[in-house]
Amino acid sequence: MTAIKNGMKTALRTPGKTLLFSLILTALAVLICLSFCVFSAVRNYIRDCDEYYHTVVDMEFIGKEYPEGYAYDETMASVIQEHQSEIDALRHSDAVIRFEPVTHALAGIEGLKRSDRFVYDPDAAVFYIYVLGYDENSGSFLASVNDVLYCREDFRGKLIMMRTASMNIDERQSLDLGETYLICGHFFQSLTSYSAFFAEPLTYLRGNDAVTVPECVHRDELTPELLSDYEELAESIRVCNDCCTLQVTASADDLVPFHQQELTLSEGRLFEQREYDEAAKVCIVSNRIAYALDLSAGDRIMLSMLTAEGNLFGGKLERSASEQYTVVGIYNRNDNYPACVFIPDASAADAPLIASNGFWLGVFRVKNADITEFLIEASKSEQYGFRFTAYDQGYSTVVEPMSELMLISIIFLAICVALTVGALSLQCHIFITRQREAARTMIAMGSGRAHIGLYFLSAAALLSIPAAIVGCIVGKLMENTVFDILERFAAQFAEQDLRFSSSRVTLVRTLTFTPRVSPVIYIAAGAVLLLAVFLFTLLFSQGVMKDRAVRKKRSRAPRTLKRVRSSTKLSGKLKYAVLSIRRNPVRTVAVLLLCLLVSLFFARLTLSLDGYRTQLDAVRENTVLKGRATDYFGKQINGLVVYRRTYDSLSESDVLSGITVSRDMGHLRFSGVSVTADGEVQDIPAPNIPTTSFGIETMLGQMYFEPGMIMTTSVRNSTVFYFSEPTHMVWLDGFNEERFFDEPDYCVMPEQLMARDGISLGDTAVFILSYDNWLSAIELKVVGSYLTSTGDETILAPLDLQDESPYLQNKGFDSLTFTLDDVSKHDALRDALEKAGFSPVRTSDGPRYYAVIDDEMYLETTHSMERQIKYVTVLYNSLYVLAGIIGFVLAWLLVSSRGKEIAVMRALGTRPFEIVAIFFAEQMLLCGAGLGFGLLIEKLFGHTIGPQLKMLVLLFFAVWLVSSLICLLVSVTKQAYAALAEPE
Amino acid sequence: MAVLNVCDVVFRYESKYQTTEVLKGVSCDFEEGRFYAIVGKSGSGKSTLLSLMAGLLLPAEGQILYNGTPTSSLDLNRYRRENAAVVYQSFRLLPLLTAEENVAYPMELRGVRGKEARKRADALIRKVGLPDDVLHRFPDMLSGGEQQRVAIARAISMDSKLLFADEPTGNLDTESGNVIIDLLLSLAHNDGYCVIVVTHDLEIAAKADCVLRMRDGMLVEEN
Repeated sequence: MTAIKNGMKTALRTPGKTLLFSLILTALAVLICLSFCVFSAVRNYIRDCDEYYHTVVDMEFIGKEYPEGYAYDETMASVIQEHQSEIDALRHSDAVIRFEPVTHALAGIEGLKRSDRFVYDPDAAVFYIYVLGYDENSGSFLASVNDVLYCREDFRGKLIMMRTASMNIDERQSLDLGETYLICGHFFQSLTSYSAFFAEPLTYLRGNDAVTVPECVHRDELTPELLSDYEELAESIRVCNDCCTLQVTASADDLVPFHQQELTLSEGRLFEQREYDEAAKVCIVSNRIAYALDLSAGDRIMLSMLTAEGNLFGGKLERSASEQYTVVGIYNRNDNYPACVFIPDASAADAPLIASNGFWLGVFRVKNADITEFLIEASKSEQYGFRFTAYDQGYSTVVEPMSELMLISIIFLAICVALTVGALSLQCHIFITRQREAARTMIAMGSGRAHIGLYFLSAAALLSIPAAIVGCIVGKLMENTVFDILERFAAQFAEQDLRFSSSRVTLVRTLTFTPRVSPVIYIAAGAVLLLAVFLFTLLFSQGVMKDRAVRKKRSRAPRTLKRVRSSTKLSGKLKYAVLSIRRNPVRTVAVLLLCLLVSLFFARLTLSLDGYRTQLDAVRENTVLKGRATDYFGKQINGLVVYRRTYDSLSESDVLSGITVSRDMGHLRFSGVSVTADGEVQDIPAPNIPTTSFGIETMLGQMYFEPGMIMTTSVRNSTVFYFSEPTHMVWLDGFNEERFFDEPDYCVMPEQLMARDGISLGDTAVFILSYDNWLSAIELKVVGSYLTSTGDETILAPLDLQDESPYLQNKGFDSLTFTLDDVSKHDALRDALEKAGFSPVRTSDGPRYYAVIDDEMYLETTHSMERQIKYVTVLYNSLYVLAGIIGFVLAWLLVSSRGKEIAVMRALGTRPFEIVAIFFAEQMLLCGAGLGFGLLIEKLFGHTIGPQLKMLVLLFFAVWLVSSLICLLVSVTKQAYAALAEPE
Repeated sequence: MAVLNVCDVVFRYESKYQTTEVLKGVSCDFEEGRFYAIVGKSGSGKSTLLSLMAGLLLPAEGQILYNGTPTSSLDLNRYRRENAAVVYQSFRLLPLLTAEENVAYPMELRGVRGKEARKRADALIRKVGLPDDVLHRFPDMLSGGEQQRVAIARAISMDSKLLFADEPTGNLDTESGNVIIDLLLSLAHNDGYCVIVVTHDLEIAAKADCVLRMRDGMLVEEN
């Protein structure tokens, strides 16, 4: 008790110092509390975000064929089989939480008859007709529909214009007027005002056998077997058209449409975990189905699953037994998901589900933080045709600035800890080391170590406990203010313009930052501070107890006698300064080394920061951004409608370095080479172009699979080369990209087509062109050839926008791509796109033109570098301040340790200003030389001494000198007598 | 004629808590060519009196006259530099200067050129009985007695006729102490210095020409 009482008395009897250190500790407690608090709040928020946001990666296969959602892709199946091990490795990588393969089936819902236009085969029909006549001009029969086996609309008694697949002009008498036939085929858009029907053989599966039903059978020739075939065909089409697509899932909210909130629930909910676990018979249906069947959440439907090998709708459909499912959710209609049914995967465990159709292969649910690593790994498979698209719902956009804040709070905390260590060292020095006489006396009087420890601890407790408590309370009171600042700071980071950005597509929701900090944090921060105080106190008191008072005094070894000459050359005021530098090599070398290291340290930091900035500038300088008009999903690049005025608006914006538009010119059928490359005219038959509409439409249909042609304003920037650069490109001698546009009949052809048709570079080839439902013969001179890794078969022809007919000018373009060389105009480009009438992808408001700037990689790179620069700037500035503080303290200590010398000088009558000049010069020489050497070394290594480095070094120099000067002024104003009276 | 007159000097140490009057009206005179010893118990005020006379402190009341001029009206830096030389118990040599440089330092302060100062310093060091190899040694290469002799050489280098010594033998063994005292006596008697020594040592007091005994801040005896 006596020790505690005395310890407290000691603290109370030096009220100035006690108050000062109490205030310092209070301030430190506040700072530590707030740093802890910010760190904790941000960390909690990041954890919440980790739960709130789900990152999924959509895996698709994009082969040569245009991706078809439900078709069996043989190439894809073989690629999957060949690279199954890579896919399995990806599925089982550490970053993946789960992989959900897209497993399609058809769902038959009892009582559902679909009337929407999104059904499988809306134009198919099987019915009896009565032939009324034959139209010479159109080459078609006029017939009335008698009896219907299957047709979506009730055509009974209506007139149709009909052709058959096997018909041609010479076979016009194949149908007899006034007779009844059973026919199958499709309605089609015709040039006439009648409902046009194209009778063609249709196939369905019976067992494992494909049964093809002829397009037309006379009623009298209709056998019971044949009639049964027609009835089965009609039933097959009806089933396909009335069923819905079924998606089984182990986590509905990870499916891209729900994940990206393209589908939102208008009623009910998504599945609960127990429903997945218990294989509950529950489903989510579209509101189209709900409307057709008058369903609400909680109602039940009878659902059967139909599966087929290969194409989802093709082949024989195998139907499972109907089971009762409860509708738990109804989603809002979306044209891309018109009539889907979602069920938990376990509930369809027995149903045979087919995965190998469509191009969607599945969805990886990936750990939010590991997405980059996963994508790097996944990108290795892209060479096989797999594509991976990540959707993080905005996780990175929201979390990254917060991570930066967390890092800053850690840096701040580290600085607070460093300051605490400094303050505690000083406090212990003043309250403990300076009381070593008291400790010695206590030891001499028989006090034990515990007693002395308690004595110092009680003084420290008196100082620190109130300080810690007040600090924690003040910290708690300041919490809201800090959080306000924090939110504003976070908002500043989040204020990124991501309009039209390809990285924007994933941002679907934002978790509001609602900081919550447990009061325990404050208690913990206070406790840590107190612990540090007590630890320091114990360490210092141990040091005092081990001091020379209780140790056997060690005699100091005499300084080695060495040859020293008194200075003969130096005189004047600086003499003492120079001698002091020369004759105290340890101090001199230490200070020189320290200043040299500081100089090098500053140089390294500024150099690395400059390096980051240079890299960032280089990235910005060398980046060419590309963008394109696209569809709602941002996937399509061709087959769009981009009007001339949109193109003009973008051109006028004067932002872009290039705009390329193209027009899809339909398909080309090779007819022969009219003039060879060496100028020889070939005698080739004239292209056989039909003249009747029937013949034209037939040929149009046949030419659908011929190579396509696009007219483009740029070869290199055409859509053909947008996603993959040509692996090989050759121009005819004397030709290049510019000369390509000299004549409208030049073309660039894929090499595989030239090889197939025997066309050489320089040949003029004759083609039949199917364009806009019309056929014509054209001659094109092949002036260039190309080869791409994806095997594109598109022929490129020049599109001269200056010389277009008014018709074409109004028609618009099928694609629009653009390039931006100057990335500083990134924002201006967004404005220009908006002004031109484009909307960002996956936004349904505004006009239905979508555009995307493929800047995800660029933004990711630059943001990552900017983030790094921000971290480094915060970190480096903190280090600069820390170095400044260290410089200040060291300079002070160096001067104050010379107090006795100064006193002796004063006793000998040296004027105060002379003393100041001597010691100031010494410090200036030492620090200046050290810093200068550092800069010299940097220069010798060929590094530039930039203005920032110069400024930092000068600031450090100034801090050092100011500290020395203040300490000198304090020392020379102190009474010499007092200094001399102090014990040695 | 007295070179230094102490007239009714009062001095107080003032702190936040108390004011201690350590000198309570001390008066005495000091003449050149004499060796004075100021003796007394600890706290009697003898060291304070020495600091006042050496110009390190100024009296609260009364005057100290140097050649008839009050020290309070003098430039104390100049007084210390030119007139009042002090030898301390713990030598107080500048650690980074050699013995020669330490002795030359006060001369250089007074504007004596380096070469001349060194020459005179060498002579003074020899005069205090130190060999030449001491000239170029740093203080911590010297024994206590040698350091004190260097300190005396530094003191007499000031061409002052006033030499104060505060317990000059306090840190020395008897033999070295005797050498130092003999040196100081020689300076007083042969060179005409007014040497004022503050000491506890009665043996030194016995050798002094005049002993001033102090008690509780007052001069109680002078003989």
